[in-house]
Amino acid sequence: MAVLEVRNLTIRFGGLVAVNNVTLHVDEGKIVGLIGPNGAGKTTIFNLVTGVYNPTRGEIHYRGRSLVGMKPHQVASLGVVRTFQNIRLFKNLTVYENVRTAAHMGAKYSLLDGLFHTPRYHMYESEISEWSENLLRLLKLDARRADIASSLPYGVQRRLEIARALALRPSLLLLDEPAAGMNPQECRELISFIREIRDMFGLTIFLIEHHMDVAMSVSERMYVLNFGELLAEGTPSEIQNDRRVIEAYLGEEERDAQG
Amino acid sequence: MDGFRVKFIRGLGVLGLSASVAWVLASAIRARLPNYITGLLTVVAINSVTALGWNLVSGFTGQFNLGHAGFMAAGGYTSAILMIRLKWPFPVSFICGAAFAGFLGFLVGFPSLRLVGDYLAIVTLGFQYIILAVLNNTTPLTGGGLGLAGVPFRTHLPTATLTVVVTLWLLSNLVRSKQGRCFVAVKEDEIAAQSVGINTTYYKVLAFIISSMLAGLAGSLLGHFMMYLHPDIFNYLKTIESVSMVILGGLGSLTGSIVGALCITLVPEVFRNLATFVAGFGLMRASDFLRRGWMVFYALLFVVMMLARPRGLMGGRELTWEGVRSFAARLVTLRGVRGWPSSKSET
Amino acid sequence: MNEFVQQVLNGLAIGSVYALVAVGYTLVFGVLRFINFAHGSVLTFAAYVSLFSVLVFKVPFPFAFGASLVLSGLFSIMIERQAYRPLRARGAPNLNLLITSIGVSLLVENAIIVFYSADFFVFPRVLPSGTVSLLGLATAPPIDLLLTAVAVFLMSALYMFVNFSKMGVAIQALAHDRDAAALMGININLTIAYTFFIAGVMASSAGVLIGIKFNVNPYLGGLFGVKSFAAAVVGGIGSIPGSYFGGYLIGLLETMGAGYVSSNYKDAIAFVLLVLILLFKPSGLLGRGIQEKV
Repeated sequence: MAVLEVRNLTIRFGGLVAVNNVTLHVDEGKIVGLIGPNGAGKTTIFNLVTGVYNPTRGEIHYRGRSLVGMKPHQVASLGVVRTFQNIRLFKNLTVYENVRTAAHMGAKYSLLDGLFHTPRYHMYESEISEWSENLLRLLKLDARRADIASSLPYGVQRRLEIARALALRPSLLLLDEPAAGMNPQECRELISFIREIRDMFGLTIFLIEHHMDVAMSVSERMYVLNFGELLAEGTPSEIQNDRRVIEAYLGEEERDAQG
Repeated sequence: MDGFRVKFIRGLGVLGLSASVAWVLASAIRARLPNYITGLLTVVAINSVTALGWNLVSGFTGQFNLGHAGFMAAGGYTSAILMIRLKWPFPVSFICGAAFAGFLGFLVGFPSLRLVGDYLAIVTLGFQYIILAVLNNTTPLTGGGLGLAGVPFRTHLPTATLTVVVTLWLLSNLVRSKQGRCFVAVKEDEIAAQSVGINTTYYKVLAFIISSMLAGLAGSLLGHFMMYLHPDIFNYLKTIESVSMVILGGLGSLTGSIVGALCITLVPEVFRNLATFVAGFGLMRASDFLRRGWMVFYALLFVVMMLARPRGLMGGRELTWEGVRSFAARLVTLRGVRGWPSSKSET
Repeated sequence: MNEFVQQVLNGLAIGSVYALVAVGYTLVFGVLRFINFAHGSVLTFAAYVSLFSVLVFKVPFPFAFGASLVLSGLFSIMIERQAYRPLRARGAPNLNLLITSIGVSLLVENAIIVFYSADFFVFPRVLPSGTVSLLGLATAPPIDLLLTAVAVFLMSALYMFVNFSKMGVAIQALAHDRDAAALMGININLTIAYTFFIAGVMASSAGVLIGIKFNVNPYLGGLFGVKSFAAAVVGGIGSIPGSYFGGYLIGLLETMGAGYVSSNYKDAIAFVLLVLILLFKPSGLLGRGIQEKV
């Protein structure tokens, strides 16, 4: 069953068509990759799905519900949660505070409960404390719980951003270039980490990746985007042998070599 | 559930106990010490409420509010007019003043807080000028430029202190709840906050309304203390006064706001008394300089604090006994000047 | 009819002041993305420099005017270097920059009061007295004509500078995308210094002339500064023509409002307009919206 369904998605910025007529779907429990050269419109698709941009045309359905016109916080509260290409943590807060802040959704108490610290407040607060502690333990962040987010090494910041996203108990997780800036060893760890959290939390994962090998080994299904249009889709091995994909990537390397 | 109920009752107990202690202390001060001291402490208490309000919206939520004095005026005038013209009892007028200020906060905050960037600063500053223009031009109701005399005296030191204690208790509860964490998330990174499902506009407006209500409370306390109101009391510099208290005590530190209010209210008095003292020896020039020196000192405070201790005297922490002890130790070893900016830090 | 022309003339003169100051807010906002509250104090500074030059050092007015423009431009650079740059280098949040700029403006105001005087000074007579008749339609004091002429001259000069000089283009590039500008080899700090200098010169020309038109006092930059900021936002912050447009619009509305409706709310007009603009067209009348990159 498709968790996320995108049909004929198009967005124009002035004269530039950043995403053109893209149709794709992400099935329940799968890890789906979205790859493509720089500027192909991958992050734009994430921004469209999460309500940062409104599409010029097209539909986005999450579990049968249209996401078009929703604000980012509404999309997130439905269970579609993302990370960012250039990590956006609450920089001056500790690891624990980052996760606990994101766990606010589980705390169903009112402003008055918050002002007077009613029994209801204490009940939900102890619940989200427990949940946050659990998350930190599961993601092996508990040793760093009191560290300030901006002081963490890059790889740990990435892990914290994912932990923060998981604090919302999402069902669809969108990861924007999780392997950016990682060395091959870290990339391998990341691949097993992504599979682990998928199984542990029963997630569906849709990820953008620039590293071809990471994308190939972690994804169960892939979409290739080029110049805002869908170029190919299929299993990693199908994509690997697709002539158009090879051309798009070789073309890019040639351009890189010249530039 | 029982454990949670115990915690709740314990929280109320803390409030009850500290409120009683504050009341007894304040009553004792009022009975024993000269009026000058009592009055000064009352002003400290009023300023604490104002500073706490400003801190919530700017220190915690990161939205720069430059119209705080406008909301004080709204609260002060509402409460005074209700008592004078409609003969309403003080507690009711007091609450109505705060409610009206909060309502204005909603009217101003809702449209402007949807915008990104520093627009709020300028809209709220504009709002303050608009409020002053309205107050100056509605003479039959507010006394206009002549001021509003005959405001009943109701702000005794115990009343003012009690307001501070209750405000502090409520705010410290609030900042330790999900609402408080969402405020801070908005300050830290709005886009990240939205990505974890935080309705940033809602929390910004909420912080703004609570802050305006506190400004309204403080304005009404001020009116019933001075027994007189005038639009010029609530000018731009009144807002800046709250800003100075908060940056001195630390953006995002509640007890810091009270420490800040204490310093900013008392230090000029020290300067003033010193000037009078020096004048007693015939040193007129020195006396004159001391009296005015505070103004330069005060202005420098903003720049120096931001450069050297942007998180306030207490480093953004709350005031605790442990903190007081380590601060005292630091004062002794004079390590406080360590953060002074050097030309090396420029790139 | 004559009455109307007269009001328009008055509005243009005061609008010139707002426009000259507003453009400085826009320029600085463009490169640093923050509201420089100390911008108004450069205006006050300029008025005092020219007052001193004429009164104490007996410098002929044109030279005094020129000197105060240059000195205020340098003063503006100094504020940036001493107060803002250390904060920028540290990556301090915008709120801290705003508070610092408020501190700087208070410092200038209070330093004048403490070390000099809180009095209001009438500028010595440097322009011919009386009024000039314009085609028999209306009359204007020479200072109003000078204000408008200086404004038009400086605006044209700024237009040439921004569009046809290397540094002007660098300022535009910086406003467009700071990181890309740095990668292209633009000296960021130098460009920012130039921006502050130009902003200072524009504002100080207005400062000297309103000193002559009204009087010189420590609070000169306060209300003029804030209203000019309103003008910059109304016109569209980040847009140079927008700040001129906003300046003249507020100048005209204010004089018209005072002339035909009531002068009681004169100072509130700018802010009412500001709130309305932010409600219905937050990017300003001639501005493009500023969106944060995700």
